[in-house]
Amino acid sequence: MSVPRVVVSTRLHIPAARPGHVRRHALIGLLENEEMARLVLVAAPPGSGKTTLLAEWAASSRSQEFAWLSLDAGDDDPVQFWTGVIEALRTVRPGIGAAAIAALEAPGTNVREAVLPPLIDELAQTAGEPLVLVLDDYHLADDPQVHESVVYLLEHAPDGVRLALTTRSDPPFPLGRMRARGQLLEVRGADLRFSDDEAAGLLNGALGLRLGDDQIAQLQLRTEGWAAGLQLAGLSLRGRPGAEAFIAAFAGNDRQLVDYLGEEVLDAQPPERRAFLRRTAILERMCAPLCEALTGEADAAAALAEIERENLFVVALDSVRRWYRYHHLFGDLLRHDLEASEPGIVAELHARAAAWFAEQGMAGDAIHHAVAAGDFALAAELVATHWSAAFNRGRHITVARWLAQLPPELVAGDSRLWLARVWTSMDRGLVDEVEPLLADEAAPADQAGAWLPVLRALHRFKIGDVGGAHEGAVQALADEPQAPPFRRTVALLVAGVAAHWRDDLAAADTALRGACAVAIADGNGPAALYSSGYLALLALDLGDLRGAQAELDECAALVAAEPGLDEHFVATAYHLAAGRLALLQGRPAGDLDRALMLAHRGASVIELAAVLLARGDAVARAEARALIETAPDPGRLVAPPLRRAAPSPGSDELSERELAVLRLLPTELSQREIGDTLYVSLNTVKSHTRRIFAKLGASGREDAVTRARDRGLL
Amino acid sequence: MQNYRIVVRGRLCGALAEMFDGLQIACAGRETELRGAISDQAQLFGYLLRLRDLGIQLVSVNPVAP
Repeated sequence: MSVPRVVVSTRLHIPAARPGHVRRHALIGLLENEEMARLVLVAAPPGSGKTTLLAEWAASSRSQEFAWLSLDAGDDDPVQFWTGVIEALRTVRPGIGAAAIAALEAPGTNVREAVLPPLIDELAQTAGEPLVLVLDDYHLADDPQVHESVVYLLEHAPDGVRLALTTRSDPPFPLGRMRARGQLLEVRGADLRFSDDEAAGLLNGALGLRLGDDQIAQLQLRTEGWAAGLQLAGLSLRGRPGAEAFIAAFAGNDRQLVDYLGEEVLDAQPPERRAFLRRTAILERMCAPLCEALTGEADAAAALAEIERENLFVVALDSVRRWYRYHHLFGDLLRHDLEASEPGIVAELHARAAAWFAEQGMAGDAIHHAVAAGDFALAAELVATHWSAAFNRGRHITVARWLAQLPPELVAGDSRLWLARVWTSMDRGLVDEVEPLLADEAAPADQAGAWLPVLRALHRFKIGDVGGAHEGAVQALADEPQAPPFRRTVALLVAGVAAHWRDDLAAADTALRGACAVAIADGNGPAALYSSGYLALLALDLGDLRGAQAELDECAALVAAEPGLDEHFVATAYHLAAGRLALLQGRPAGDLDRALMLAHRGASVIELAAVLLARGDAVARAEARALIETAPDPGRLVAPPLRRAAPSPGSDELSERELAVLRLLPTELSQREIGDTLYVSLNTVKSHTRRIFAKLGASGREDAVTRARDRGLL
Repeated sequence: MQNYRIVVRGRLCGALAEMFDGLQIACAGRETELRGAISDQAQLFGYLLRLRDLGIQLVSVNPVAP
């Protein structure tokens, strides 16, 4: 696992200033002193020096700490993006974000609800030096969820935590509002333009030219102080006799800067060097062994070092100068040079890169290059091998994107990929996507087809058909008694939970205990937690509070061993049972809130409805009602009436909820406080209290307590 | 399909112009006109982002008759 780790860290590395680099004192002063701004927005065209400015700020700041994340194309996956952000924050606040990471890795997580609140709390609690979170190349985050969650962070971040973005396009944030409130500090293209002095610093300093003031002024004017333009011009001038003539020719034409200067710079390279540059430009990041595999160059490390020394637009991605990338603008020029001069070898280069990354176990890069090489067979093989590891770490969108890049007939024809699609959709609760995949004609003919009956039963359960789910799972168990442990666990689970909702408690008990045993033997934590949570619900149904507590202790132990489980929808039953037990014992049932959040991450509509019913407030009841009414077979769940029926005369049995209220009547708590404790409204408490009084024939609160004690209810 | 006329600053007549294959490119004065049939908004934004990523300044974008 050491290699991927290194690659992650290249995204967190603050680019080091190159020797002789031009200092931007005025801008740094502005950034350092404008402490009110919650967002520093550096928005300008490529090659303007955005990244360099923030890197210089980070290196020179005395009063602030910097967490740095360089975005890449994969950051349109909110899970990858926030994992990167947390990794970046950990470089300055070690260990922060454990709960947030666990939430991220669960399927179907809502970042704004589940990931950011704990992260923001922790940021507030671990306040140290003021902190700047830098998101470099933010324009690569092309996803509404990412934007929305970054805005949420901006609005809720504690004082002393600021964001700094570099981007080529303004992000879709409420910038006008932030500007009006003085929360936004903007550094734009015009601010980044090099002055004459700065241009002299670049050309005569960093690039070692000896140009006169007049020549520098001409270049400055022609490039309008654009950093990349000045640097390209300087590179074209280096080693060239007759600077005068070049500057005159350059200044006197109207050609596009990059178009003209790019050609000049590339033409000045020796042929082997130019070939090395353009061939390695297909890489998003490169290291010497990879470049060697790609180009056959004998000593790529020396070549890379020389390219860096000559200021040919490479950026070191780590402090040991192992990984590099080309400056984006220069990379574009090089890739174009490759397309124009050697179009026939592009696919071969990508194929070599794919092979190299695959050998290093770096699946994401390998898949990217295999697709670019048009080698879909290799890409499919890589996805088939690596999807479950990515999936289990919560990278659902990444897996979905991998699958989407493959030709549909290839996915349909490979049962492992078919399975990846089914699970990716199923565990995100996208049951509508699952259904067509489970049709006869879509199912694979080979051994993965054995999954079909089990997955169909699971799908029936997810959409609220407990009868169909039970029948399917029982049949699957009978048809394949020697199923591999994972499939047997899933089949037993579906049989058990479906039996539970059909009120067949004996069958549920047998199947769930079986599932739990196989799951534990198989090291399947999610299934062990899922079955233990249901065993707790089962004990509650039988009135066995002690047994329920024992199962809940089991759940707590599983979660303690594997904290990520507590963010997964499989923990829904655990928290539902804990909440119900708490209500019975008159304790606050905060677990029900957690159960509700988890149920939304891919649980069955039946489970969601059960959680809503347990919460018992009017809104939850209305939601539960809608779910139960549309479920094909909701089993024992009964849609609650729109209005509570009047208690039938003669029935003086107290309901579960009324008992919970009754237990709080001897305390000092007001009715409102009782409501807060039980997570119900004041009105609900009042109506419970009225019914308690009526059923007990009590005249008031104290009288009710006396009568309840007489009857042994308290 | 809709024909568009995209005008950018600077003369774009060297190797870079080939990055916009599919469009007719004409340099006039200090500007360059890129013109051609563009199938949808996604393709149009693809061209605009490519211009942005090369640091090329956009002057105007207009739908035109074929």
